[in-house]
Amino acid sequence: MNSPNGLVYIVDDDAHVRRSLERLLRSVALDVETFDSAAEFLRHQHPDRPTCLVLDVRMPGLGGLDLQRELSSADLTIPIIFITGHGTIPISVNAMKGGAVDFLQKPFDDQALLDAINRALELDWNTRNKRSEFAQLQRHIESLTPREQEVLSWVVTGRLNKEIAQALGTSEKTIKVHRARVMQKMHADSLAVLVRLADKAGLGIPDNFHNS
Amino acid sequence: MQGTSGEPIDMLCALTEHDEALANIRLCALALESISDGALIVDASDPDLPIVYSNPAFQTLTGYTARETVGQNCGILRGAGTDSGTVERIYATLRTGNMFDGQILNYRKDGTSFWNLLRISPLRDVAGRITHFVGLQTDITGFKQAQDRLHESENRFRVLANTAPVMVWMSGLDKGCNFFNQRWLDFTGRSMEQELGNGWARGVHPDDIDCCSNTYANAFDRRDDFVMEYRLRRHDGQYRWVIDTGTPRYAPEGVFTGYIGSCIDITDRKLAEKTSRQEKQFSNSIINSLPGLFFMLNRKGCYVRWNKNAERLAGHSAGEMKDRPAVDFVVPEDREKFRQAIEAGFRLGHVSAEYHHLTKDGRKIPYVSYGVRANIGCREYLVGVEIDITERKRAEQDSRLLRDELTHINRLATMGELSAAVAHELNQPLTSILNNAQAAQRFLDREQPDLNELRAALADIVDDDRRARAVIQRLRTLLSKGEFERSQQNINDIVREVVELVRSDAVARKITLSCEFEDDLPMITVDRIQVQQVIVNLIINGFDAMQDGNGRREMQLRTSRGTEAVNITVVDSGAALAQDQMQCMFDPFFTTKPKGMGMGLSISRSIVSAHGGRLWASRNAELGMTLHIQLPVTEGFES
Repeated sequence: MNSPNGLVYIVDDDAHVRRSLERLLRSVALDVETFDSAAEFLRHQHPDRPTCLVLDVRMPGLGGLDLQRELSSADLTIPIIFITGHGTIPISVNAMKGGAVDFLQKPFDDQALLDAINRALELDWNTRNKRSEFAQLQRHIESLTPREQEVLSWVVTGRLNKEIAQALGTSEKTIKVHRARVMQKMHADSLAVLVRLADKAGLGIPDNFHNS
Repeated sequence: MQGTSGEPIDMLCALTEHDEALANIRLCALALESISDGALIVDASDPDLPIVYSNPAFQTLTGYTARETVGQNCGILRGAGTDSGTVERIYATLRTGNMFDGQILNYRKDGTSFWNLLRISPLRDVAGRITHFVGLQTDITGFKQAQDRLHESENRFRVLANTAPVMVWMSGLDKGCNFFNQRWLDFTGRSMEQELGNGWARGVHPDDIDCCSNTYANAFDRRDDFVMEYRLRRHDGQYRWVIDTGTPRYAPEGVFTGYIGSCIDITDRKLAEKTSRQEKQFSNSIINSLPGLFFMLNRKGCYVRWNKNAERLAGHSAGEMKDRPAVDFVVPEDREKFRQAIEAGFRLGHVSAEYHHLTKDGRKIPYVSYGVRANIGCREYLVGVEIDITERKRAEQDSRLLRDELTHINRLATMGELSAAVAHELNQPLTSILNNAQAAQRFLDREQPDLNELRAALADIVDDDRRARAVIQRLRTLLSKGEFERSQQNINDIVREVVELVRSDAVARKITLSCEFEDDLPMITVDRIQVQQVIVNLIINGFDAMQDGNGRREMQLRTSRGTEAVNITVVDSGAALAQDQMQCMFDPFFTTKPKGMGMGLSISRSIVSAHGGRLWASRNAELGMTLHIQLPVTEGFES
């Protein structure tokens, strides 16, 4: 999927290469931002839109692989397409292990790069979507009171209100009210949806559940 | 008896016998009157011996008149210088009745003296009694003086001959010797009597006598001068070599009177000559045994002495070599250098020079000469040897080729190490070109192509093509097998170009490469490629040294001004060598790298040496090592 909002970052210390890449991407109407070093790129504030990074492996100071590590440890998951003049197998293996989208040997065919960029932007778009869904879910969960969260964790394991009331030492009616508010706050119209949301949010089953 | 001239002749006409006797007496008287000798007659009967007659010649001789003499004793003729002994002798002789004949110094009336040859005869009467004495006087002063002079001259000759430092002999018309000086007699230890005539010949060595006699006799007969050498026995029995010079002698009137000659003992001189001849033979055999050429040149640079090798080289005979300017045997293009070398040799006292000799058959042979100034006699010479350096030149050439070969191999190896970096250098422009070209195609595919974009793309393509060509050019020069060629270079430009070459390797190895160039450095005369090779070698070595460490990875390149030199330093922060390793790090085959040839530093040092420079290493205070290159600004390298 080609997102019209895609933005491509180029990090390369070679001005000529940088300018030619920028022109190539401009020729297919991609938005481009260029950086002459990894350090400069790290100082940059990234906008909330699908992006990908075309990164030179060999650069003075921080190299491409270093930048990949830095981004990863900062939890900045920008899809990366490595380009290198003289790639060795160990380098490419490291890059791919670090989650690179592609590893292109200079000079490369434009289509190969553009395909990789498209893949990367789609990947980022997806990732961003997933991340925003998850973030919404998190916000819903956070809007629950502690008691409601407790009830949710029992509900998604398929327990009956009576069993939950017994476990929590309260009345069945009270549980029922809690349950309705959970469904409402979590924007779930059925138990099945709620269970899936809870699963996405990674909510575990209370530890004392089986013992109780 | 008083003579009158003029009358007697007429009277003789009618003479009687008596008259005839009278006439005879008168004739005798007339004779007495006429003779040129002085004549006196004294009366013997009177003990005072008074003068009774004196002739005109006597009067002329003594200055007395006839009157003044008559009745006087002969004592009037005596004076202070008259020898009284002679006077006594005269009287004694006359008393015995004999004739006196002798010389006496007499005085004239005016007191002047004269030598008188005096002859006195007694006159007797019929009974035999002495009645008178007649004395004849002749003035022999002139003769006497001449005789004295002769005596004096002879004496002088004798003194001269006897004091002369040579042995003198004289011979007479019969070829026999009639005089030897004292020195001769002292030499032979024989007496004059023994030597006179042919006695001297007994002292001549039996082997020399024939030659000696013949030479003398032949010269004598032709009245020629002669010089001969023979051995003459000395008083101690030893035969000595003498040189005898003889010349004919003539009396003042030009009459040949014999020979005079002189001899000198030349035994010592002959010995010295022999010794000197042996010395010369010895020195000749030395200079002829020398492996090269020997020369002895005078101030004009002409040959005074030389050896056989020099003759062989020049292809000239000894005669042709003599006084020939040595520069004649040098190839024309080296002649000025050769003249300057000779001049320097005389000026400085020593010189060495290299040039080519030209043989007669036109070959050029390289020689090196070592000469020193020698003062022999009062003259200055340049003496020395020349050695054929054809072999050395060939060896130098061989080793230069070998070194060039090694240098080239090392360059290839170094470039091999840099190949990844170089590939990267080439890839960059190629990548740009491809990107720009494909971008251009895409722009063209649009419905309304953006011409500005297209123009910019094409301009960038051209630009990158130039960049690629520059990389290839750099490579080609560095990999080429060029001749060693020096030219004026700026060291900063050289280092900058090297930095371009290794920068990408530095990036790949995560090494920070920094440069510090001093401005306005003097130009140096170097082979650009070889100096770059050295710097690349040092940089790659530094890179390798930093490869394994986990410390800082920094390399600094610096250029700076030195004393008549420029310095290039390569500072790394890698692992330094141990002290013992540093001592052999420039040796061939020394390496710390698993795959290293160990030639890099060795070749680097030989390149720097060939430029008259120095290459050395030092350990940094903190981390790593520093390699120093020093290249001279002034010229003066081996070619």
